[in-house]
Amino acid sequence: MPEPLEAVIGLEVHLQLRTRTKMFSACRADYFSAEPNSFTDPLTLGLPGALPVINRQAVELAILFGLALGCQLEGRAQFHRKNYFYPDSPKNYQISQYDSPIGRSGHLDLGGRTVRVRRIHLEDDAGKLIHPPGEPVSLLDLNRAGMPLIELVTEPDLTSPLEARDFLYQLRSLAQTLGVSDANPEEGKMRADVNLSLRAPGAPLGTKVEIKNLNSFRSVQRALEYQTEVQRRQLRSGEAVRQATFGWDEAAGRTYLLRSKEQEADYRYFPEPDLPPLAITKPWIEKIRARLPELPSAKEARYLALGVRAAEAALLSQSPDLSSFLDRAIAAYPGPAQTLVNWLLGDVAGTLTASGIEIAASPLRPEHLAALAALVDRGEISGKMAKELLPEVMEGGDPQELVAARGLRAVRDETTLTEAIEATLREQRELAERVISGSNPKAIHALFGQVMRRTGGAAQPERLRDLLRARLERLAAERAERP
Amino acid sequence: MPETALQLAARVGRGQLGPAEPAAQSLARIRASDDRLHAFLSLREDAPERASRLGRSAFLGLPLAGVPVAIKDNLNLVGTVTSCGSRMLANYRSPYTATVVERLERAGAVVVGKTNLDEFAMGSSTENSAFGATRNPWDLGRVPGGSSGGSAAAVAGGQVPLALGSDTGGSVRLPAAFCGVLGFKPTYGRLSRYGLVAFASSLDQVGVLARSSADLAAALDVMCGIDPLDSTSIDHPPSFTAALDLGISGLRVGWIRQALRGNHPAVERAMATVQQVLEAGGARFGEADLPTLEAAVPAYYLIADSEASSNLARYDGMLYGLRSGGSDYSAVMAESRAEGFGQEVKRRVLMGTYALSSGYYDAYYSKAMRVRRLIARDFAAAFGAYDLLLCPTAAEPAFPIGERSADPLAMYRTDVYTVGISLAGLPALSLPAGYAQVDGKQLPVGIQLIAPALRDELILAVSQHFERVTEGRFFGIAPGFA
Amino acid sequence: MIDEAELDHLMELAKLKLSAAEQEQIRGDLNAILGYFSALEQLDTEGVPELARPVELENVLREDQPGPMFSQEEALGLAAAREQGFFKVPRVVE
Repeated sequence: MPEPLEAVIGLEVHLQLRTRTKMFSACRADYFSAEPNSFTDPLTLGLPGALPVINRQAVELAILFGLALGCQLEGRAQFHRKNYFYPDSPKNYQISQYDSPIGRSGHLDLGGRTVRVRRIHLEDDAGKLIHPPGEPVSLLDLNRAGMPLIELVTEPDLTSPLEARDFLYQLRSLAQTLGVSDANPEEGKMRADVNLSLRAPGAPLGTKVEIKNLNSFRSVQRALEYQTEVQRRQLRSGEAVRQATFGWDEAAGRTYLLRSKEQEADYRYFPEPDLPPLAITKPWIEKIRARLPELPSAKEARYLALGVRAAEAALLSQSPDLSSFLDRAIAAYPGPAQTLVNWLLGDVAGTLTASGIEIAASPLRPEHLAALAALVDRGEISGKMAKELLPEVMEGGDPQELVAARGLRAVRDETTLTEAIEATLREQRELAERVISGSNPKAIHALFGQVMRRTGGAAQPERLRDLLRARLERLAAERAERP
Repeated sequence: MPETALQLAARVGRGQLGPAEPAAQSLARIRASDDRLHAFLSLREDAPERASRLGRSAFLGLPLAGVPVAIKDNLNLVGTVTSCGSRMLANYRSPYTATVVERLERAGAVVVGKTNLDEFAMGSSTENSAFGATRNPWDLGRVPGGSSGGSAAAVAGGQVPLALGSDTGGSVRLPAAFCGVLGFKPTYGRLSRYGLVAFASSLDQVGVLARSSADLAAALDVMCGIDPLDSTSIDHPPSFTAALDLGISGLRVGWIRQALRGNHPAVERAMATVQQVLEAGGARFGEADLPTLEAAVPAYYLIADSEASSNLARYDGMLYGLRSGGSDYSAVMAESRAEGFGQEVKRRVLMGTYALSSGYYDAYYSKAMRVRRLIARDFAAAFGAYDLLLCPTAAEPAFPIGERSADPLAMYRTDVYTVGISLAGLPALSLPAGYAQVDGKQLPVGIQLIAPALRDELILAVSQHFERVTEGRFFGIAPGFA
Repeated sequence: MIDEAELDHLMELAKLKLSAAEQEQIRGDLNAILGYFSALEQLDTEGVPELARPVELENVLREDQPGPMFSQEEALGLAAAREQGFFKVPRVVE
């Protein structure tokens, strides 16, 4: 009976920071989809005589991120040169951090489980190579070279491919909430390498393999599942797992060998002589701590306390844009938060998806959504009416103004309604008779419908119901009094 | 006798000379003499025209108005080739300008050309240039020193009154001594390194060569000061010209004991001259102990080679510079570097790679960086008792071309008096203070004046005093070039 | 001591291809220089921190404000080979 094998997974994640300029030079950072090699300067090109200067914002974003992850921050952080030759790295060294990273010993909570973060550090990104098929050349675009990156390394605390994927989702949402990184893999702003080993429970760690070039969270999961299966088979058949680095072929759904252990690189790290060290002092940390926004876990707890359903609270807390919209709507709304959530995640979300825009780009104002919901709550318009008004409200229309302009305010005043009731009773003598005589009390519903139709659907339902019932009861009482 | 920089600037300022004239005259002198000296790798033939186009009024009130200057060919100047004396960069045209050069130009100086150097500033004789050696104007069969040999020869040969070099382990001071001119290296960080092609980042400094203390001071005042583009630059505003006339009364001066033996007689005479002049001016002399002086040489080469191996990694033919053929990128890189680099560079890159490689870092680079602190502590202790320290710049005058080029270790020992100062990051000047008579030729010798970190200006005060008292006797242009 | 295998390794690390004759010569040079470096071993550096620069500096930072950039033409103008806005380099197999 073969022993069950458990997966031991660690992640190395790179996040491109949201700064206006690059990590070590004032070259603009908003190069996305620009012409190749149009966002360069002497340092980006690795020209003779170029020198690095640290971007303050990059350091502060790293400190902010470290705070949110509960990292140990205080102390001396030093940059190091990581020396290796590669065409996408103009200086043929990366300015990174070796044994004195910005942050250490943090953690991220994954719904009950804690994943330890070994370290976070800052470094500069390389350029992009493309390889035109069938030609003996590669093409290099250095727009991305020099961009600021946070590298985050976890302890091997993850226990399944799905958990790894979940971790990445949580990390992304944290980075987005903090404004540290846009963190979208599609734009290359979040990249993950994984390492995996298998072992019998309680046994020492097995040999680990590394998988790189994972372009999406889904790839991360699939690649881990694939390699887990490969290693399981190897170990079951008595074969030893050899340390290696793999790439992932998404189309083919398999890993391929990049390097075996023998070719491990010697990076010859030494302290970057062009950059004095960083002293991450207590006052500096506290100044940045004040910039910490509400974290997803706190947000989720707050929504739950407001009575929002669990699944929806979790979803909203992961989306900075949706939750910020919701919070502004809640501030303008006296009713239960769940009502707004129903709107937001229901009809509003549906309309947004259909028109292909995000909530942040939508003209819909949170105060207007709140007003619309309040109109329904106060009975001034029906739910059906509100849905009909929604498209215009989503274009920026103010529901109060729309209702006033169309005289849509549900008719509640006694005179108008009484007129409608009298007119309907005269028209519908048979129906009225059935109710008054008591032969078919249920005919009141049909009468109700008729009056409603007579008012063009504008009658306030509860009010109408009360008046109609009262009128019919009085007519029945009058009849009973007559001999 | 060609004028000093400030004399020229004054005449341009008074309208006696047009701003383009000094540069034009300088270029004429260069054309007449450089086939003998080979101080320059490239000339800015259009420099006078550029100055003319700017117009007289553009130069009004500028401290270095119209002054022709030469800059070492490892300093970027937009539009010029910056070859660093290497085949690797023979076709590299700077798309940007070094901060110090920009500051010089803004002060009115006119760059007339780029000077020869040991390849990537690695060397002590300028024989390691890929484009031929520069010759010492005092004896064309001898080296001018290195690595800023071209700049020193250009000043000593009367081609320009002012030149920029770079000093990593003595590369401005040594050629200054061999060529009989003033050569100054500031406290590490006082002159921006932005645009200076890096050799050893924690040691490199731009340096200045001139024939008068006032010229040196004027150039330093214009160039010194923090540069936001260089994270290692220090915020310490310059006041060199103001310091020139401070005098030396009561100055405590110490000869470095470990440098007192084994020197050429002319060097010893120069030492006596300096002591005589300064004592007469009120300075008091003693001896300072620097036990780690000799250890400075291996420590220096370890640190320099290690940093150089990383700084020179970018030269691989991919984006700029020489590119050779090859089957894949790795082969192309390796071939380009083999073809583009000379022997000394290859030696140092490999040595540095070894010193940093896995398993050796602690024993070599880290060890050397700790010995470096011991050396700095030695200097600090010596400065407890003295305001200024003195020693020869070199133990001997200039050696013949070819004498040491086959023996790297012999070449390295030429730097024994200069490298310790570089390791400690201290300011130092090579002061021309005498001549040797060798083979019927006069050969200059120089004495180093060393101050504590950030006390650079004191050195200029001493230099000015010496110059005044000796009437600039030792600061002249080489015979045959005057 | 740097033997042939070590030199091979260094040439690969430093991406420097030397001829056989050059290798012999340089190996000799390097070993001589290494001997010179051994003088440092005699100095006691126990507890002595490394020295990076003469004047201590820390937290040298710049504000996140854009500065000048090269045009695409300025950047590519330096290149040995270019194609449609890209630097053209020998085939890189990943």
